[in-house]
Amino acid sequence: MAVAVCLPMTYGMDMTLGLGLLLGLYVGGISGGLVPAILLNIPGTPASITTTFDGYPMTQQGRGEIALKTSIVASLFGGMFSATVLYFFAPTLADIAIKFSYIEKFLIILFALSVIASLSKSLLMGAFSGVLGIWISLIGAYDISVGGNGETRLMLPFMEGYLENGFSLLPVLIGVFGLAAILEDAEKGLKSGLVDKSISLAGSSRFSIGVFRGQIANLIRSSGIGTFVGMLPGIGGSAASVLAYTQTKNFSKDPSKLGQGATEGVISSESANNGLTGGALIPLLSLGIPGDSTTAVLIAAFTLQGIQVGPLFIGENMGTWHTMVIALVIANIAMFFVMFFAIKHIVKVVLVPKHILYPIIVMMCVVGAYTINHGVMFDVWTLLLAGVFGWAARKVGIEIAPLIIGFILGKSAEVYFVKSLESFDDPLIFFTKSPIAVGLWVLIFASLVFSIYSSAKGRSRVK
Amino acid sequence: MGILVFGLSGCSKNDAINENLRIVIGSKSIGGDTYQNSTIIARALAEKLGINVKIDAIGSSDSLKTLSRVSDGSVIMIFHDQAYLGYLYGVNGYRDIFKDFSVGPAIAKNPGNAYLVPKGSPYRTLEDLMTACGEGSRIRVAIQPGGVSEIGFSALKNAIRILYPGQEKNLVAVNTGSSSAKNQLLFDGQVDVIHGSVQGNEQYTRLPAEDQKAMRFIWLTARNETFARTNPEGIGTTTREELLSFVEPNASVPLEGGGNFTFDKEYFFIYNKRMSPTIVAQLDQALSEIFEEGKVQETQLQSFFIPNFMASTEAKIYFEAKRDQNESIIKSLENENAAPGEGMIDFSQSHLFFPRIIQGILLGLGVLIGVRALLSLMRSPKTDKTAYAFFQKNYDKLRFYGTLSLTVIYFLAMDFVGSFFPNRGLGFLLMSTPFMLSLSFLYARDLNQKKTIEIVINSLIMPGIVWFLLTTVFNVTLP
Repeated sequence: MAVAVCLPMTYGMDMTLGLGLLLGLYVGGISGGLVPAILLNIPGTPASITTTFDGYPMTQQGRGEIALKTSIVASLFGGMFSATVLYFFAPTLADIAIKFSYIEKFLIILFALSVIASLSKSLLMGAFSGVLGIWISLIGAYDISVGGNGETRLMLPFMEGYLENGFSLLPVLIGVFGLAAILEDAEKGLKSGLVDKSISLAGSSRFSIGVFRGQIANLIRSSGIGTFVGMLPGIGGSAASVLAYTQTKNFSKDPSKLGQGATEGVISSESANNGLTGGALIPLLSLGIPGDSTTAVLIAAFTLQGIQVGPLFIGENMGTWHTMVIALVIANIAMFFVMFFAIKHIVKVVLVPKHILYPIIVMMCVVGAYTINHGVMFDVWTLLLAGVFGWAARKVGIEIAPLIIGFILGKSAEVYFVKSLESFDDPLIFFTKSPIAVGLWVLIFASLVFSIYSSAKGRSRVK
Repeated sequence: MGILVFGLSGCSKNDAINENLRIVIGSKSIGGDTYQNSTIIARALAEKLGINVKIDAIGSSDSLKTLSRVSDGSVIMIFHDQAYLGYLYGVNGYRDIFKDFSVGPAIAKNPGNAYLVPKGSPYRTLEDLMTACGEGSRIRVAIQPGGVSEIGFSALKNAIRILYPGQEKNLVAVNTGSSSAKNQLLFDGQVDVIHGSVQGNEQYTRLPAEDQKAMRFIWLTARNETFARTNPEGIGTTTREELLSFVEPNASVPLEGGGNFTFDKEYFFIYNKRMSPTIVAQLDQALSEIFEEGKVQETQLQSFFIPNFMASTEAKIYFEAKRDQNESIIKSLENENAAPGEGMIDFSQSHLFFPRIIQGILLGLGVLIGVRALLSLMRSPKTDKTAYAFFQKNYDKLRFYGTLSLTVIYFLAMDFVGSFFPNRGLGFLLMSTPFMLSLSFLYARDLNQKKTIEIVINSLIMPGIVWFLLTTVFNVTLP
């Protein structure tokens, strides 16, 4: 949203300055999402959802500073990794990206959904929650802008005026995480502060670079996953961080610690979602295809400056190309310094009394919900509905993370699935299209088997 | 009293252009041509009239809803031919803009509407394509259904119907979404032709034939005299002369009764029908002067748009005639379009295909969960009824229901108060302070003087800071 809001400012600017501003906002926006995710359990962006799994427990344990600083260093690594990959391999990777048709993209989404269920307390409930999230995402019209027929579904006729566009992602996300948590706390009577004890800057609560010992493989793997997913248009940051997080859990020496405040969890999530930034620029600068909704705004910036994006962009605009890569690197470094050294002040948010903090959170949620679609009041009501739903859902055992991931990926899953069938008219094509599709099925199958095995092992241990 | 003062000072007069004008556009994309074009005109209007103008890309459905609610001229809309084509194609959310709204002045044309084939395609011209269909070959065309993308396809299909009656069924639409989706279908060999644009696809036409991504133009739908007004340099390294070889009459799509189909994508204003004629005249006058000055045309041309100002009255007549011409093409294919499509998914019912699968899976999982819960209950039934209670024991009813009530009142009041001060964010500003005060006092325990002062200061300052930053610095719309 920051990129979209500041785009008009770039019209009167020099190309270099304009691109620098937009890239800085892009990197800052992705990175900034970790702050509310860790301190308040409200993901600032969909890609920060998995950061809440370990980041918020760390805050509750009085290790909020460690969580924040670790995440910022991981974000820096992810961003620099993807910038390096972008610079040296963009054209080659773009040619690989176009080998992923709708079928392969559907299978990646299916893979992400299968792994998110495995992160849940109950596999069955996790799967149910994920599918429920998909179902909710389908409410509304099957939009013509994605090749649909424009017809509405999953609603009563009198709802059409309100639900034609379905529920927007951001109001649902902040409602289910933010407002629901406030309702839950209000139900309990707001008897305690945000953390059980004060943040201590001494001893074990202090950050040290030693937290990264043994995490190099995690950093590289997660950054790689983020970069790879970023270069496939239409998959998104949440899938990247989910896939990276589950791989971290699979490779972890002690998987049971993930979700309880493990630093490797926040390292994985944040390096993956910042790895997305360079990855999403690969299809933009090598094919003229935006990797995500934010890079789509960059196309407008180019066009307004009279620059055409497409497969020949890099070759015909070497100066602008180098400027962009340098700007991306500087943005990551600036993000690091700005955030890292401000942490000792930012972390004090948890000391703010709830009777002051919660009204501010609600007000900011309203601002976010209203402005995300440039002024639609229904999105504000969606925020409230999602908040009540999130509060109630936890009580009946619905798992919120799989629900939200299902919601985020549901519409894309539908488009890729249905359009693949319309093109090929053969359901078996999902298995036979390409070696990539076969490989993805192997991963999906392995993931499901592993999840069932882990779940069964966990139950027998409890007995 | 403060609200009254605010109201008097901020109240819009219904016969003058609002000093905070909101332009909603029919597209949701900030990277797209509608947003770019609208921004160029909005900046010129803001400078000319000395007012604050902001663009909100909320999409066609929300734009038309917003426009139909606001008649004081504080909200106007910019869109292109999709505004009436969507209605002609029967797309949900579109309305008859000529009946339910007023058509305002036209501002520009986009001559870039194009159709492309792979560079190695056996179809080198439109004639090749139409002949192939006539001889029974199935040609698949990737389009976005229901508008600008489809009208060229409809015209081509109609032309095949004229030249090879009964064979128009061989030209089939593959309904898809964005430009990247269409490009991907071409890369994969899933379609033979795609709808694209000169601006978005020209670089692909310069790739070597052996490159999987290489494309070739086959038809540019713009009128010859429109295209002749583009920059001679063309776009990229493809000159205007080279591009004109794909424009009528060099690429012809015959119409019933003679002549060839052409289509310029044109941008125009849409107003609330009850908006004051004085405001309509003021906008016409301002735009006329802007175009007379000549500066805005340079910016439009730089972005490959053709400047094209038409005042409201003239524009209305022009677009009604254009609508009628396109309507006759669409109607001539009604029988073909109404026939159920081939393949396992009927496009007209495709909106239900995936939801049904999901509902089936949800039901299955729900049954499994229910059975498991039942078995667990049977094995070890809970005698304590509070185990089944939805709310916690002794939950704080005041704070819980108070939070819900205050939030509902806040949202309702914000929207209501904001309607008196359009596009200024005052609904948010005026209602956030009492909301934050109320919620803070509801949550605070052991209230003392210090806490009270903190709450009051926070409630006064925070909304003000947020309002100032967003509305004044970043020009963001608030309630």
